Amino acid sequence: MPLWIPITLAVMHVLSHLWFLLVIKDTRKFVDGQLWVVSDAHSQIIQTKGLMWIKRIYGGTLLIWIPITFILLYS
Amino acid sequence: MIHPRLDDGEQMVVALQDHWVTLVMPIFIYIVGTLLAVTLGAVGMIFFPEQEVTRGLFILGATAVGLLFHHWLFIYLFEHEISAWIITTKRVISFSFLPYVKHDVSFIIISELHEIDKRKHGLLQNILNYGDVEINLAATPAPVTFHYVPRTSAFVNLLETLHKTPPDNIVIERLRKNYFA
Repeated sequence: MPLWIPITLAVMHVLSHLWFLLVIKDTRKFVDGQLWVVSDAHSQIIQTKGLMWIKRIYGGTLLIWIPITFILLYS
Repeated sequence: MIHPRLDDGEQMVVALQDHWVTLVMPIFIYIVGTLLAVTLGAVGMIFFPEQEVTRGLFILGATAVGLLFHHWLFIYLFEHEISAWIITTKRVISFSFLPYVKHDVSFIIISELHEIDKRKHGLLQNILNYGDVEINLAATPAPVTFHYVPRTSAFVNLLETLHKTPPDNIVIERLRKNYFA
């Protein structure tokens, strides 16, 4: 297999993770800057619980893509 | 950056997110995109098992499509999670967010409400109990519209009650129980 194919795949994964980090950064900027306006239990739920889980699942599922694609490439 | 705060004596009554129906289309598009990616990968694996470059190109294509739709879904999950209306004893604070696209916050003072319209058109909106709320303010000619408001009647009734009730007579627990229990 020519080397440029796995390299392109690796670059795609790197770019994908960079976009993930940018989205997290922008989300945090909005939440820290605006949503903390109401420090009540409800807003705490909005700020932390749901967002934390989405972030974990988002990052986790992106990581799962890496071994799957490389295994398929070299199988 | 301006950090808006709640006024003294202002308390939060309830926080509502967009109705879950807003997630149906992104999830459907995600499923279609994922199926497309799986199909591309399968075509490469099944029809070109010995041609490494062609198979590799199909897997690269499948990865690109799959990742694209993966990011698409999560961007809309973030939008759904953060976009919210927070109703306090004095204001309605509306947050509308889409990463790198939309960072909207608006404050509507309840005492300045002039007219509130609830719109639930169609079978789906009435079965799933969501709709639009249009708020006319005394000071502005154009109405403010909230889309995909869950439990629209409770939302409108709560605003109407807060508008009519003097601040000292507002019992938050009773309001929450009456409208959103």
